[in-house]
Amino acid sequence: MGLMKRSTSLLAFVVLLGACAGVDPISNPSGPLEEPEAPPETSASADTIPNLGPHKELVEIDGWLQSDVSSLEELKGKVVVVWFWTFGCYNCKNTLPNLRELYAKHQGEDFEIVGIHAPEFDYEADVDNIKEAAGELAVTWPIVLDTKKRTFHSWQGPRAYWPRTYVLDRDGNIRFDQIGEGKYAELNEVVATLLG
Amino acid sequence: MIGAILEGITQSLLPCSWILLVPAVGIGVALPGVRVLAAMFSASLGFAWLAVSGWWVLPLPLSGLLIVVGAVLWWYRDLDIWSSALIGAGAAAAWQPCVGTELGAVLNLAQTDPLAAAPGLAAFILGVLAVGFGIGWAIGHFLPNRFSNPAVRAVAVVIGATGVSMIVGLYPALSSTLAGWSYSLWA
Repeated sequence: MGLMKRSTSLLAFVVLLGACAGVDPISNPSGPLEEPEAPPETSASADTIPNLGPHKELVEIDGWLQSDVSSLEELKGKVVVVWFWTFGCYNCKNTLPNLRELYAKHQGEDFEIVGIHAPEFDYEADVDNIKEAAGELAVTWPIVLDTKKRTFHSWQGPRAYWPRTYVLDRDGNIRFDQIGEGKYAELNEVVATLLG
Repeated sequence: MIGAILEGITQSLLPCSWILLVPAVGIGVALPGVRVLAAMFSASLGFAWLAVSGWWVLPLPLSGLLIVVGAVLWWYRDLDIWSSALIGAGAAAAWQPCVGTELGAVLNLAQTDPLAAAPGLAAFILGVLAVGFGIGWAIGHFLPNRFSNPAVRAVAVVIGATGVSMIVGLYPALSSTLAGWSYSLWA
């Protein structure tokens, strides 16, 4: 009886230890001491990424900054991150480190980031303020001036958010949509996969 | 869930949360009972949920009208669950959130499964309102003769004036001025 109780306690201890180490002790009896095998490398296919349909157009914008491009059509053939932001938005700034890294990583590839600047407050609508903020925040990619927020609402609907990040494939279809901060790994993976 | 409450708390002082925060401070100043606070929370959650689900986004003037009616009821009948709920509903309907990681997860979920997103949204709004109620409660305790203090009733006027600014179209300029002032302090 005592032996059985001790065995049960030992089993419970092993299960607990395995759980803490993130190892299933039943399927991996060797326990956590052995280095787990690296998962086989898989190359995700672009076909596995959901296609959310063609992107909307830019509506009643006030021009572009930091770009020779004047429409999203001109970027067809490239993978494009469309990032809705406004420079006073705290959460938009939090997404910047990943975007900067992504932009640097895919420099020279068929890749572009387009920041659609939709001001929440009047001081954010001033072009000089936007230019100054872009410099301070190291936003070096093309910026679309959506001062009247027509594009902001055309893409997102009446209840729209800062930041919101879309990824367009080479044909202009939306393949990623994220409201707010987060999902950086997924964003980077989608871009890498679409670039092939 | 805890993460969403904490994000609501940390984001409550950002200009994009002021429309929810300021009325909560105002209601907190009056030191109401739990039922009045719960009424504001429930109404805020309901209207915010309708909006983030994409089912019903109230135009700004109508949001302002709800706030004005709530403030008028407060002025004439004292703060009760109805005035508190109307103010909360109007504020939440006008709320245009900035979105962090936790609220982002909630709003992304709301695109496909609004019901599943409701608890996370409730947690975030609870965080924002808790800060507002807390600040208001602290201010209210410093007011002498708070139950008859004209300052408490004046809060109803300020909240009502905010609602009027939404109706007449002055609210964007008003909030811009305050946000611009706040930005210049921090920038």
